[in-house]
Amino acid sequence: MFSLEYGETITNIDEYIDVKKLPQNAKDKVDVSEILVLPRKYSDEEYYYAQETIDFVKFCREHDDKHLIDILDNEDIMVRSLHSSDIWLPVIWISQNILLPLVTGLISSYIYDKIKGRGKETTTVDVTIQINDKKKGINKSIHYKGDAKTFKDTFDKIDINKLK
Amino acid sequence: MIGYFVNYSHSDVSSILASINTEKNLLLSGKYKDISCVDCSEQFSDLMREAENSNNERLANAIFVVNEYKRLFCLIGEYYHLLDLREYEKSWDMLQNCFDTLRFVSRFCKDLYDLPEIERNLKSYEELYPFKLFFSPEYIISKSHCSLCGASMQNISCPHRKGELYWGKLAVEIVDEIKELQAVSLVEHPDNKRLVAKDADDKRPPEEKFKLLDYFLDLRISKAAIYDKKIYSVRNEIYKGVGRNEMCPCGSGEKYKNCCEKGFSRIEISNVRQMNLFYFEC
Ligand SMILES: [Zn+2]
Repeated sequence: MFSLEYGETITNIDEYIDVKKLPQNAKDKVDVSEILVLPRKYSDEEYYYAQETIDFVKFCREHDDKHLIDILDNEDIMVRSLHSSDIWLPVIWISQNILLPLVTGLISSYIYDKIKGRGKETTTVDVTIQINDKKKGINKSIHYKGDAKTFKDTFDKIDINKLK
Repeated sequence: MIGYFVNYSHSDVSSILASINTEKNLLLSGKYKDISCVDCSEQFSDLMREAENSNNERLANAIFVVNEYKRLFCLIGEYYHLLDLREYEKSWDMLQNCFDTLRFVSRFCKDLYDLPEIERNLKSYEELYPFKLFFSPEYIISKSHCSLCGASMQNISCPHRKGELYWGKLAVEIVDEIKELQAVSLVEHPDNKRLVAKDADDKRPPEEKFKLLDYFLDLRISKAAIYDKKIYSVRNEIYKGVGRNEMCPCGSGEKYKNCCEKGFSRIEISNVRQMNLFYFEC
């Protein structure tokens, strides 16, 4: 059981940088990073990062040293913690749609690592991938919420060239 | 992880494995009160020193996992003992301790076939408790630090990931500041099942509140058993349209009005066998 939703940009990076008065180097990160982890606005109009944010970024850096993976903020972030056994991943921004297979690969290895040892329990994953490909003019988000075990199969079927 | 430990050549390895075998024997033979739950770190201290001196992180981590694996049987023994005492409320928390340790060990040892057996045994107990809904707090963490290096865990400066082992130590996030508690919700799959939603006005005695578990314990089945069970609750299909003076469909031989109509449920147990535990050669 899962749901897959396509939508527009979830987190407007420029707006966040403005609101939080982030230093110049946050803007630089947007230019150089290939994968950047973002907060999102919740119902109380505040921006928070999802529960797994820090561990996920560390995991990606351990498993992939060829791509620039970063987190938009430099300073301590605010983390929304839910104390459920579900996996809450942040908004993961990519600068080009061709990076989608890489990022879904990292997400599924992360999920696999997380649910190891959980036996027969089902675990739900919540993750959003946001693509802002300036060259191709693509502004898109894909939100997945559902069984951790079906994440990979679902994303393997997405045709990146059809993302417009 | 355990495979690496088992094959590591050191005189303490076989004595540690033998003591784990002993714990398993005690558990299966019903002598779980005799499992000594003393801190086992003394047993591992020579090996740990060797790991440090030989710069062997893998050994250090394996020691931690084996220690937890050994502790799992102590915890299960304590849990069974609480059941004997019919300490239902306390036993729930101990059961959750067992699950936490079981999950941890299972993460690092996929090949031990007794872990799924243990899970099955413990899950069967969990299903007999009346607790189905749990509180799950939602909050914003603004400050926390790493248990290993002390650096902030709200940015990526510290190299440690939560729940991972580094040099035989577990990295844990220690929360220092919660900006706000946003909500407390009722969920079915919480991270921590110790926050049980209970009815404060429920003044029934424990054997009433935990009647399924109480009934099961009266059956005197070995604590370490694996079995199939069928629970006949009053919501079950078989009670539809049954007259009060008819024989109860649960098969008790009583009239319905004197049996399940009162809200009493029955459990039918079949295919009982002992838990299949793994023994080390040593
Ligand atoms: Zn650390």
